[in-house]
Amino acid sequence: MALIEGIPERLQTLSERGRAAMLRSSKPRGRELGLAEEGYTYFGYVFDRFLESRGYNQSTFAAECQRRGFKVGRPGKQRDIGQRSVSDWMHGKTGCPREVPTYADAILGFSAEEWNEFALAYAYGQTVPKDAFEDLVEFREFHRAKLGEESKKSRTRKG
Amino acid sequence: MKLRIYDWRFRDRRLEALYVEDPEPPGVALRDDLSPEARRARELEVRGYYSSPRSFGRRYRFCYLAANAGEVDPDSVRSLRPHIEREEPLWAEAVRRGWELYRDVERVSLETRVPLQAVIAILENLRERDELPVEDRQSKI
Repeated sequence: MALIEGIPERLQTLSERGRAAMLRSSKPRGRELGLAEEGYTYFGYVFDRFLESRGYNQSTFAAECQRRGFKVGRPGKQRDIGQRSVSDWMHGKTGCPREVPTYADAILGFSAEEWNEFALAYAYGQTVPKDAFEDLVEFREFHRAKLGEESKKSRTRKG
Repeated sequence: MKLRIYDWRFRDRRLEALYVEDPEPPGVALRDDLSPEARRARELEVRGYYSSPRSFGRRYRFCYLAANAGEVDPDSVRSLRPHIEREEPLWAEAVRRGWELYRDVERVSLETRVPLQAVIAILENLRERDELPVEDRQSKI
């Protein structure tokens, strides 16, 4: 039985040779399905905004990292930062190495508030598009407030 | 502990639902203008997440509209499979008949108004039980 016509192989849900094969997703691990191929993650959006505010772009930031000798990777396997890497971090194609927030702070000179924003985006925004990230933050606040109201009401009733 | 369900207007136009496990008890935001079928499918899906906490490795889950079979999230299908036929027997019957006629997931979804992820979940269950109609016609899923 030929079940597929013009649909990617991973969708052969009911094909005889690929039992439940569609359950094997081809999306990069951890990357949200709603993240468009060319779209920035929330982290990418924040990083790009800070770069632009200081007159940098991906290429000039990478060049500045190289000029200062800022490298990423494990000891013995350290490598220079290139524009392509910066782009991949911003698009959520690869995870941003943990050294980068410190490098970004050294080059861009964050205020305390900017550092918090960058850190939040780095920690939670690397797989999520901007709008979805803001939806998540807003909904969690709303949900928390609702639960707080409920518990206050139930305490009042008991009292 | 009870799952909280809210109507929500998302910034992200493709988001249909957002499930959060933190703070507890979990809550789900459902897009406020979903069709009744899409809403029901998302409710059943998040009930699946609720009954298997942290099955997806994070404390939140985005549920996006799937414009075609290629965009259906496998986790949505997994979450729906255990309950879908018991909860929506009319969908199960419509999908079985639709599959006999069209042999195309997207066409079945279009004709029956059953959301894509639910169509796939029902077909997977039928297939697992060897109840999927099989003929030597060309089929597409």
